[in-house]
Amino acid sequence: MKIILCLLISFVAGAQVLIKKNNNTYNVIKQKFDIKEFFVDYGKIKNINIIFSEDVVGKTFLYGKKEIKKEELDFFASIIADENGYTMVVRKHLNQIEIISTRDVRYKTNSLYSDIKNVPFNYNHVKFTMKLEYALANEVTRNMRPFMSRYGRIIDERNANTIIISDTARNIHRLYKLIKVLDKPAYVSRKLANEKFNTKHAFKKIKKESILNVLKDQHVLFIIAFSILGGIIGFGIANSLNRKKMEW
Amino acid sequence: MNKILILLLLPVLSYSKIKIVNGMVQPMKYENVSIESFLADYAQALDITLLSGKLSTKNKKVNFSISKELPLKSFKEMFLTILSSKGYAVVKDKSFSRVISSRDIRYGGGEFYTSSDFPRDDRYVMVFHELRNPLAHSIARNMRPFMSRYGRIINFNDGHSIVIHDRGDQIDKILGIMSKLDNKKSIQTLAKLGVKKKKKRYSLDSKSLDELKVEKLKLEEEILKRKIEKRSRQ
Repeated sequence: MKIILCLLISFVAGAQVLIKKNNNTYNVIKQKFDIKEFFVDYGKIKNINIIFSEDVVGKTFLYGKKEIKKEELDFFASIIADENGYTMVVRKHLNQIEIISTRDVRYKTNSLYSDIKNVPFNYNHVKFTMKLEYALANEVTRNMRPFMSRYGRIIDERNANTIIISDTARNIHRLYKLIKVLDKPAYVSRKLANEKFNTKHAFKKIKKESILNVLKDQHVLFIIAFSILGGIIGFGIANSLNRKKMEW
Repeated sequence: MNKILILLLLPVLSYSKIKIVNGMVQPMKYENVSIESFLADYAQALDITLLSGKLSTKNKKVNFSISKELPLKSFKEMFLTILSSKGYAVVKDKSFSRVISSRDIRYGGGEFYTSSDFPRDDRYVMVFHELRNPLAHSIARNMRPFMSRYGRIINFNDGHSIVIHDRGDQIDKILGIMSKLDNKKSIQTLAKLGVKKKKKRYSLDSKSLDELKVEKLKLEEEILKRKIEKRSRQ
């Protein structure tokens, strides 16, 4: 009897849901949970199909308040995926979310935005295009590379002076703020002034040449100098010999 | 008897060591406490949601003591410093706080600020700074030794703009050094010494493929000429 009771309890505990719904909040009942378990529950709550592209493995620890606001559930799910090296590819028209390894995000089609207001604030990978007004796109992309996420990409289209970013939506928001600060008329005027200064005060290298090199290049000078020197020595010797003759 | 003991022990186990009375953290001592239980205590005391992946437990014991009552703000700064010393960073996202390895902060952690307003604590932030004089290239290069382990600094071609990604207090120090270097005298010295030209990058961005081919042919011609000259001399 006891054994049956224990089995029943374990069965009930196993079937227990991870996310419980209150009025306007969701409660995560465990401190340490498996992400696959979380996404299964998430799919049930959102009434959306979840596809795991591979064996999704990972654990997440939750400390303190385990309450999630209704409007922040999607954001929370994106954090959980990102924390374990996965990303959510959302396809609203198909009513499905695919959980894939972030490394494989380049092989998937994800949402493309050109207005920052439409870019959601979460950790899902999205694409974003941005046309620059003043700064040159290739300069900006080169300088943005250190601030990209692990599997984030940034390229520029020189003719259209446009930047194309594929990264987490959160990072795109951050990069957008930085690019907006840079992309101002002052940037161009300063750049021109800086280039003028650099050309005006360009570093001039003074060539240090050895005496042999100088002689090699200037043969005429060397011959003249050598003949003068020879003449002086020759006359000197002749004079001294004459003097000696007189003495004799 | 055992049941009563367990029942008595349960509240003690779930009890947080961190006590906050009227916004002041009470004196306490933490000795050889695992980082996970410290995080749990902190989140419970402040009633926040802390999130993390699996944390490494190797040499990650927390030791600290608070001898006097401490304002909550200072305690939060202390929390960030403790985590930073253990190789972790905190990223605040909406109503959640994520604890991540400091090494992973480059993958998108840290809010964007301008140099006039940014938090001067152990939080990782990205700060945009504008120099008064066009010295960005030399200053950014010279500041690299002063960056923290995972800090980054870049400059832009306008000569004034610098972006630093590092801990708030570290950036504060770096900006202090920068303000000393960013003056008219430095510009005069630079003009005297001369600006070194950057090495040309042979990329498709700067030159077209045809131009590169022509340059390559010219170089090959020059090499041939030199070879012929050498042979004639011999």
